[in-house]
Amino acid sequence: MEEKQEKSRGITIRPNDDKLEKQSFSYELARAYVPWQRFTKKWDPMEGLTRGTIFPELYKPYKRDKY
Amino acid sequence: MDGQRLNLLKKIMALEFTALELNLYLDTHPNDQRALAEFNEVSQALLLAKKDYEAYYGPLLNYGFSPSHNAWRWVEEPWPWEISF
Amino acid sequence: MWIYEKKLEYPVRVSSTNPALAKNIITQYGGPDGELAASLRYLTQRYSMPIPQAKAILTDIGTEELAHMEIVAALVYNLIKDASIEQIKRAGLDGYYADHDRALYFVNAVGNPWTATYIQSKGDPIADLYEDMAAEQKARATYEYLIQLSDDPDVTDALRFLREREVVHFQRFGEALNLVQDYMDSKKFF
Repeated sequence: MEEKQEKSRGITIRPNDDKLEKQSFSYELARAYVPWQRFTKKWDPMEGLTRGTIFPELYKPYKRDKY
Repeated sequence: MDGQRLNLLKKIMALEFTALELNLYLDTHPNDQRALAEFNEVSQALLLAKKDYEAYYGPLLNYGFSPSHNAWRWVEEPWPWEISF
Repeated sequence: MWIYEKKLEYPVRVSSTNPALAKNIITQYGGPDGELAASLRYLTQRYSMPIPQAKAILTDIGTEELAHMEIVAALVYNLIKDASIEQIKRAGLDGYYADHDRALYFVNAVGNPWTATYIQSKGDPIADLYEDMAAEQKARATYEYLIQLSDDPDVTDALRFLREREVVHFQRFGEALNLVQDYMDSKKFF
């Protein structure tokens, strides 16, 4: 339980801002949150352009339905 | 349009797209020093690629951001929608 | 102030003249979830954002949407520029032709003109950012429908690029929302 809470709080902190890490807000009802992206790696420029993003973790291609 | 020009243009597109992506990321992560360093690095490469392109094929930017030394080349065709990749 | 860059954001190519496909794709030019609506929505909402990060992201994404409008325009232009009257009639684009010839105009897929009612600017930053996130999802869905309708692999390639951009923008607006919600809370308590 403790650990789970820690984890869920982990994605709401502002990346690379250690001072704010402890002040990270807690989730509230009737609100939407998007997990923070933490920049780790990127594709090279040409591959990024081809895919539509340079961030592998944000690449979510459409799988065309087959009818 | 010759292949060399298309390749250079595509290289500029790729570098500028990387800069754009890091720009949007930095808007919501202004304290990310690593992203900032990579943004500055790619901006520098982009600047060089654009200078290279403009020396041969004319200005990429209007309103004084690109040189037009001996002739007003801004009006030259093709315009972006007239180029086929 | 804006300056123009004489290049597209993404290299565009179409395989062949295809007015039927142009008729559908034009909705991302002047339709409810199209790029004009997206750009104007963000560029007008930025004035009532309370924190600098939100002003920046709306300015920068609003500007990128203008580049997407140009990509969609380049697709439509190249799909119809060489179409014969016979092809235009067969594609059901004759009504459009009667008013616009092969020019670009802001309409949706069935010819309704663009209207400011496609966008909102509520003055409440939370409400506006939720709208922006929904707008990105609606645009993503539209690009998926267009990919389904496309019979031109080169056009599909550009549509895939534009669709992926909606995913990235959603993430950025979500992060801006986190920051704005955080800011509103801090204002309440301190």
